[in-house]
Amino acid sequence: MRDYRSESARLREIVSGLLERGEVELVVAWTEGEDRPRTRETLIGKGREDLLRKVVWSPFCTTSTVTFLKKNKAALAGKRLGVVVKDCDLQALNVLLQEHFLKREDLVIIGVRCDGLAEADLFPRPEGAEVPITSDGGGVTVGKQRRGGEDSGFTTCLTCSYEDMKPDHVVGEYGRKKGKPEWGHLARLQALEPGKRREHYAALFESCIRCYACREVCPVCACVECAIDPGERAITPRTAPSVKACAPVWACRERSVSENAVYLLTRTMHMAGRCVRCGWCERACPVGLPLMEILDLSNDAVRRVYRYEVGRDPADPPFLASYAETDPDDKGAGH
Amino acid sequence: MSAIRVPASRMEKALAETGWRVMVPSGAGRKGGYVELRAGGRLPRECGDHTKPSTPPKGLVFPNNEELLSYVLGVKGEIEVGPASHTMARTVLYGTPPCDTASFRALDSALLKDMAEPGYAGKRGLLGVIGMACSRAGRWCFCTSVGLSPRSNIGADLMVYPDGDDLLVERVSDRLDGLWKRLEAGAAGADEKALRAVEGKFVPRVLNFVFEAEKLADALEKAFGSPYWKEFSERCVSCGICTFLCPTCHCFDITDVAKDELSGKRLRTWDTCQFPEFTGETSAHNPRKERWARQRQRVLHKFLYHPRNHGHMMCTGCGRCIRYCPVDINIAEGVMRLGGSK
Repeated sequence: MRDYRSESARLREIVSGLLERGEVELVVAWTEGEDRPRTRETLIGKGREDLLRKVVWSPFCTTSTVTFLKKNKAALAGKRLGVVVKDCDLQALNVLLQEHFLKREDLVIIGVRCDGLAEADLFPRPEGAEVPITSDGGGVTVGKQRRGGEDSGFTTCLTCSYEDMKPDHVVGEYGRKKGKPEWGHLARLQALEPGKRREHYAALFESCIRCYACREVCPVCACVECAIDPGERAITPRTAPSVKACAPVWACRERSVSENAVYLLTRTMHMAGRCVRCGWCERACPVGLPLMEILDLSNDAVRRVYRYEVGRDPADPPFLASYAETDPDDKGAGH
Repeated sequence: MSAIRVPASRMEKALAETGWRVMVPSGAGRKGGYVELRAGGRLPRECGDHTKPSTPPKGLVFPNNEELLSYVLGVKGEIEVGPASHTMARTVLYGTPPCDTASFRALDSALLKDMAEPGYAGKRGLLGVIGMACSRAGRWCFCTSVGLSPRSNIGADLMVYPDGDDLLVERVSDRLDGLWKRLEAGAAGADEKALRAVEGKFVPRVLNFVFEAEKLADALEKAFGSPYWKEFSERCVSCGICTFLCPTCHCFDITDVAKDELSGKRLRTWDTCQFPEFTGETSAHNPRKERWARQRQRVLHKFLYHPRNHGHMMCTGCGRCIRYCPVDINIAEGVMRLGGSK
């Protein structure tokens, strides 16, 4: 049985210690907001001392502090930061460190041991700060309401295998044995005959409303300029054709199976060897698309063909920058 | 007579007789949507947060993907422009909760008033809205804070109050008189008293905040330079969820899509003030480069600019932007902080 109130208290001790000793200027952590048990990423530090007492760790920390770091990169540049991360956030952080998007020496990493997340909106709003939030091997309890893993969590968390990463500080102990990555859904899809498989994906692509939430919440989607909707491109009468040619429109704004497919599949290809399967894109999707199903197409190739483990160690070379004599050639890749 | 009592089955029959397309909420949350009722299908008997789809009904008359025109370049260099199809099948939207019903007031004031926008006007003229009193408020609902209630009929042509197996039907506009006449023939009248008695069942959730439109607009105007905007949008990821799912947001983008060198089409798609390139200018200047400036625009459009121009808030309190925001940005919280009154 894990008690997240006491783990949160421990986390607050660590965060306030880091700030008091001046080891960091600011800490990115989750705090409880207006709509408990929901949480939100917040900057804690000088001038924001009042927020320190709201710092929290629970299975409802479903967002990514790494996305927060990324979105506020310019504002936080040059500052020494503390960042609270779950196992999947740490994987994502490692990917960004491998790519030199962030510097390891600028960060103090506080890891929270995660047994899987739960959807806050399925639980009653806890009235009062003392309502206990706990978890046991298979479920999460808020006050008197318990929900089992399958009824409260996310499929990606049920099969999460990340553990024993090496942050600078650790909060909590794992309360359950981690799962095994589950690839059965891919096998089922690939067993479909091509026409049926096409229908399946076409229906998925058709429902996309192109709000780009999947891209924006992604902790490792890090391009300054997305190939799908480059926003900084300025075309003036004096723009050379060669410059224009460098900014082609890969997917137009039409909401159709084909254009949506270009967006979603481009994302999948660009995530090869970078996706940490945290599943936040899927959780965020407002029309409930099973996005991991698409991302796993490339995740599976990375794992199965190249035996590459994403984001295990910040010192590892990035997937696309690594080469081994033993890498299979096209023939050996089985495609 | 402006209100009658009819069995719910009679409404089903009368609607089927009209031959109109009937759109109903298909289920709550992310998997839900407003979909066509299949022939012989049962009309929803209640509505509330538990039946509210994540996507609002605006897409019926303001589609996310709308062809405005098509063109073909002829052999002699002449350009043939295909007529825009601003039409749809005659449609009745049935069982919308008051928040979604009232969204049409905001959309109409932006897209019909003063200068009618043909794409919207064409379809809007073919749409009738039958709103339904809401029986269950959700965790993020705040319609009572923006001048609406679980029983308000703003935006509706007919308003329905479920009462056991019966419906009390109120005629709000003359737009659906064809249907109204079918229902009215031989139906028991429901006087004002009966209507109020049923209405009384739809108890507004008592929220502890009320936005007073004029005071709020003044307060927000003063808060334009507030440092709070940065705090409010610090964790914003600039996705389109809050605005695409908003029943009243109506910003769009127009792009020409070439099919080949000789032909193509002009498309209108939803756009959002939250995308960085929304205000990008051809010179590369972007007046709202920062996320806080874009979030401020969203809030001020709803609670300052639109109310000043049209006399009502451009928010119906449906709560979708709060519920589906991936990073827990809460517009009600922000507005309270900057100018609400308890």
